[in-house]
Amino acid sequence: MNMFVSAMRLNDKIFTTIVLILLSALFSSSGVFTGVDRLIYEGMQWLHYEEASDSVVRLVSLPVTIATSVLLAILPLLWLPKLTPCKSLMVNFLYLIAVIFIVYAGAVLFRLWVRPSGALLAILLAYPVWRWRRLDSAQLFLDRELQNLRDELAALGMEQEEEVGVVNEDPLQYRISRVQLTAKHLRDLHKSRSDTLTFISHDIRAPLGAAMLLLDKFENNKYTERMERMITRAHAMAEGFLQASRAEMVNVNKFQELDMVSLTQQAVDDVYEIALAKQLQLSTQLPEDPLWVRGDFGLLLRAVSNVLLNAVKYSPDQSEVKVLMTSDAQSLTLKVIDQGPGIPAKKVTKIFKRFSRADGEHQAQEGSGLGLYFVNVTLRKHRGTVVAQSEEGRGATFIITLPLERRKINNPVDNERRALIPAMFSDSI
Amino acid sequence: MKIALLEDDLAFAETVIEWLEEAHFEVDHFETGLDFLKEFPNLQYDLFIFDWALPDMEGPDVMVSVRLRSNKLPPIIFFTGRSEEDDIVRVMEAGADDYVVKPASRAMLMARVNALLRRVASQSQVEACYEYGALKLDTRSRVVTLAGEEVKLTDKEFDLALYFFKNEGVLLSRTHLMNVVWGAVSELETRKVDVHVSHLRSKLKLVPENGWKLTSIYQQGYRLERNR
Repeated sequence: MNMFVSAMRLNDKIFTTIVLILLSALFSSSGVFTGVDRLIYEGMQWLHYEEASDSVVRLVSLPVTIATSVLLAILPLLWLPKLTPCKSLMVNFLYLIAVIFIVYAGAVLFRLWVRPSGALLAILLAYPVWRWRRLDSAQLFLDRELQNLRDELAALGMEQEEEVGVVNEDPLQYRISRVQLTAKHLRDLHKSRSDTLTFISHDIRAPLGAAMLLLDKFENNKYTERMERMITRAHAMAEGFLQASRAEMVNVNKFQELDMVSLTQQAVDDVYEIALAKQLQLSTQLPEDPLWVRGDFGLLLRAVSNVLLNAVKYSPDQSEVKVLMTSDAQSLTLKVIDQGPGIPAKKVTKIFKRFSRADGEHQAQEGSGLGLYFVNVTLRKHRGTVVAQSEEGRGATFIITLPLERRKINNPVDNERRALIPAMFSDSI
Repeated sequence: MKIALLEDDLAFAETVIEWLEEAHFEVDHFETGLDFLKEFPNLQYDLFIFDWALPDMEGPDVMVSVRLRSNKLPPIIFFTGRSEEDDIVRVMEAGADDYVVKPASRAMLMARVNALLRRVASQSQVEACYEYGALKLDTRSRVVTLAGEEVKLTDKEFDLALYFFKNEGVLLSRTHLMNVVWGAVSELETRKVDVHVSHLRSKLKLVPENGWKLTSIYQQGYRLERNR
């Protein structure tokens, strides 16, 4: 599509150049506008009355006049494609005045008079010709893209209802309403896709959950264990889909203030049992005071838990997982550092994509391959980031950053701390 | 103790009945909301367990109908198939005392059932001293000790701690905590509860290493429970 746009721009340039060359050559050679030339010449004589009256100014030959006019006329194409309409109009106006001065300067300094009417008229027309051409191509492009989009949607069996009543109006208005309709249609499609996903995931989860309960009734043997693993994995996948679509669709206007320190503490508490089973040491260094952010509690808790679970999952027994949180005036940083096998350099950026695992051979491992994708989506929705740093064989560090809530915080001050405040200021009073 | 179970999924209901009966509860099972509403005026229950999605009506509607016919209700636990925040908030706003997300584990369901029944039994009594492992709360001198060492708590923190321990395992909504501990609190001060809970967690070391878990339920409520 970009190539198409740039090709179109090139065509527009060539078209405008040709039009300007023809116009300037025509105007300067035909002598239609000799009146303009005379007016400017007289203006010059008036300005430089004494010099002009007692010296001879030579008229340059017709081919030179045409060549100069053409050159001066196509110069605006250097800036027209780059500037906004308003700026190009202003620059063109300044250029027009500059050209008159150049012609004057030629007459005064070199005693040569180039008839400027051809160039001036072409410069005046340069802006409208270029804009007209651009608008036409843009509309053409828009029409074509819109038609393609509608064809594609129709091919998918999702035709739009035809708009009514706007066809006969202003063509620009018509196009705008078509774009709006298509955009709305796409939003609806996105929502219905997400709704379908939620519906499917939910309906898949329910029977799997029931099957898990039924498994409890059987005596444990290697078959029930295997079945439990498979059902658990399917359940986790349905859950992963559901959560990922929830993160994608979350309404940022419903975000609430929450304390990331206690949220992280809760996530650490949640993985405690699993860490204990692997004899991992979970060391946390969290700030004592709350750090407020604006967000969705459920999503952020799950995001932090996913990063922690990931660290715990890939950690060898009896190793250490560190959880550190720091903050500055604008944002907080949460680091989760493990001593696991690490992530190969070429995979480190891919792990946040859908259906990726740190190690491709671990397909049988539980998890949906959506855990870190979910983390990434959630953090982006919260205007935060998540990155992984790792060297193979030397553990991995996951770094989450989140912007802090800017509203002034009115923490309830403890009695003990309240007592300290006057003491702190006593020196200065 | 008698429990009414309203659940249309028979396989699920069968398992839950088995768990409850093994714990010596008497269970009446209903499959539809209308069945339950027809029978319930003639019977006395200590606890309701409702499924959210029933074939003929939604769990909360059943609850509203029950409330219209009787002014004294036993605690209600909702089974919900969805674990998203919006659903949990709806459950709590509907006036449920607690919820269990399907598929529930036996331990989870029994913990919720027992916590609610215990709460009903011990509602109005305040004892002079409560002991929870290494933690000791003296309600007369308002002193808390952790492994023999005194922990300095503010008045509100002490009230909050006492309320949490008296309602161990029970889901306490934030609004409820605000009313009980602070009296009326404006909506603007919702951070107050979060900050106090967070202080309690760090001062009393309510972490899994010490056998405790203090959880925020989507910031709508809190639950202090023993780490199993």
